[in-house]
Amino acid sequence: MKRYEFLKHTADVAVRLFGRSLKDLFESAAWAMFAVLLEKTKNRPGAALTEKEISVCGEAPEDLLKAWMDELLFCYSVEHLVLVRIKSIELGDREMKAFVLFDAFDREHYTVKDEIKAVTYHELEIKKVRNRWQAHVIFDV
Amino acid sequence: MSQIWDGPLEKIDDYRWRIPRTYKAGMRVDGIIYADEKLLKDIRHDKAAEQVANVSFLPGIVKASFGMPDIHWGYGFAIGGVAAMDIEKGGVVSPGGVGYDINCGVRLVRTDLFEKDVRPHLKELVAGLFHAVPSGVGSEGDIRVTAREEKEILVKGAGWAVAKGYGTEDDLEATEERGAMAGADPEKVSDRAYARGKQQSGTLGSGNHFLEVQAIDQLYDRDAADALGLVEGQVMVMIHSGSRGLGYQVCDDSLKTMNTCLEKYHIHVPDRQLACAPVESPEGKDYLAAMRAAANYAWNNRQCLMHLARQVFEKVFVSSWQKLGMRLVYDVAHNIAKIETHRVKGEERTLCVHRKGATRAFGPGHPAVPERYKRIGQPVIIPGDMGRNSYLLVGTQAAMDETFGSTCHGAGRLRSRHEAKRVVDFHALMKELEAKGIVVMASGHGTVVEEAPSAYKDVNDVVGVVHNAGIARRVCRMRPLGVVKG
Repeated sequence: MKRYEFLKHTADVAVRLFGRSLKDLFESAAWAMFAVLLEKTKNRPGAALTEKEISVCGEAPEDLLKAWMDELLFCYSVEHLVLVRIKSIELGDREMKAFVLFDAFDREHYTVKDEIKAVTYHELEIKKVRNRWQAHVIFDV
Repeated sequence: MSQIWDGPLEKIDDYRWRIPRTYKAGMRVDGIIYADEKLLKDIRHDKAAEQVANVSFLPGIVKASFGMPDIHWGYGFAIGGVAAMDIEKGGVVSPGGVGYDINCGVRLVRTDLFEKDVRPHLKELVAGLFHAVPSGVGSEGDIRVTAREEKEILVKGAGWAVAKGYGTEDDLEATEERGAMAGADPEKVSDRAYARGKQQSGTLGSGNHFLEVQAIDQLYDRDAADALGLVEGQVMVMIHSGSRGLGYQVCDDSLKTMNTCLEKYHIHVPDRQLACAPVESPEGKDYLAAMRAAANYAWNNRQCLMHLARQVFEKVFVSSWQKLGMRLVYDVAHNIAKIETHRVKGEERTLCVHRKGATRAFGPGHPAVPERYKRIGQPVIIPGDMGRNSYLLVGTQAAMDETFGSTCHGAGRLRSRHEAKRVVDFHALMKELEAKGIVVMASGHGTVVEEAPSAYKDVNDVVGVVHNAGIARRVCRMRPLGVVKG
């Protein structure tokens, strides 16, 4: 099953996310975001990875999704960390916690694509279509 | 988006179209879009007009929710939107009405050089600018700033750079707000915002930000051009940048806060991205204090970028920038909210004017217009795409009367970045620009393709509308010679 698809939007990047479960949808969001940010150009076997615990809270699933992506964007833009693997996600009604493995960004192994300024609230929506989860997110780039 | 927006657009005249407030329950005023028939077709191709209607839901809005001819689909507010809220009547401020890139704006520098002087050195000049000006995603600059200085920048704006020797008092005089808005409070800026803006002073950024060497190719108003000291063939430098990571985070932080207080203030918005709070509320005041800090960061940033550009010219032309006549013509903000006084229904009112992808265009005689431009009106700088033109205009009394002294800000996007990437070939585009004598240097292929001329509306059409509608007056047109992209 594909995790995400890019949609048409005049100025920004709109993406539709898919997941077998809500947790899975959150994982798709992380991969979609890093697909906008950069591209891996060279493998780096045996590189030391950084593990981080990320926890966020929010009133609704949409808030949690945005807060989770905000954290990942912060890790990338300030700490220059690139998503490698999501070890686990625990999802509650109003909080989520994840353990994530990151690689250190460098220009030899990664090509920078777009700068995401922010994850917007515009048309942000999570819904269940048949037995799958979907979300619609717009990044300001 | 493939559907056509089929809401009502009533023709007022050849350049003005109305979305009546009866279109949707909740609209407090009409929407008014400035466009001609040709641009209107493009406007109908996305949701921008719907967003103009949505903005009219905001409490305290007066007159109309305005869309400029370069309007396109944003989030919450359309890009190219102007809306003013009456503060005494519970008027709100909305971070989405400013956008993430707070005080994204543009400055224009004149030179005494002519195209024939620059042409033989163009490659060297563009390469020099490209290396001196850090650009690209998350770029960090050589202008090192300590944590204490960072806070100073947020208060002093471009004045910080000038005090450091990166410019002169004369530059400040030619900058909107003299390069620093009063009422900025660095304590209202989050640690996260500081972290995201760190080491980005004096960097261009990516996306649509650029530094261009241009030549004036047409004069429209000789009197105004004389007052500005401009003639045909003259070489100019244009810098387009904003508040970088710091501004993005200020906007994001405030949206989060305002989304949680909508209920408290009994505000209903049709889109969460339109979250807002009364200007006089603690949340509104905090946002404005942080927004002004971010705006000052951006003015300082453009001052630093101009300083770097002047140094490169000095090296290439072996002369001082003063001798090269590199005086700042003006610097304007394109994304900002300001407390201003305007006449509404014959009465002076204090308004919070949101300009999101719109330029202040104050007419002749306005106290905020620098002394040297009092007679002609405030200079308005409109960048186009890298293959076509850019413009210098001046503000008018008609803009004061109609649009709270506001006009368009650029060409306006036509095609999504994604689509541009799909249809535009990098090498073919570079060849096309080269054939036009334009030298381009960029930190990545992606941004060049995304910013291809075909991704934009023709700026000539956009400027034609604001000129003909009278909400700004054309002075001259520039054509790019050299382009540095993030």
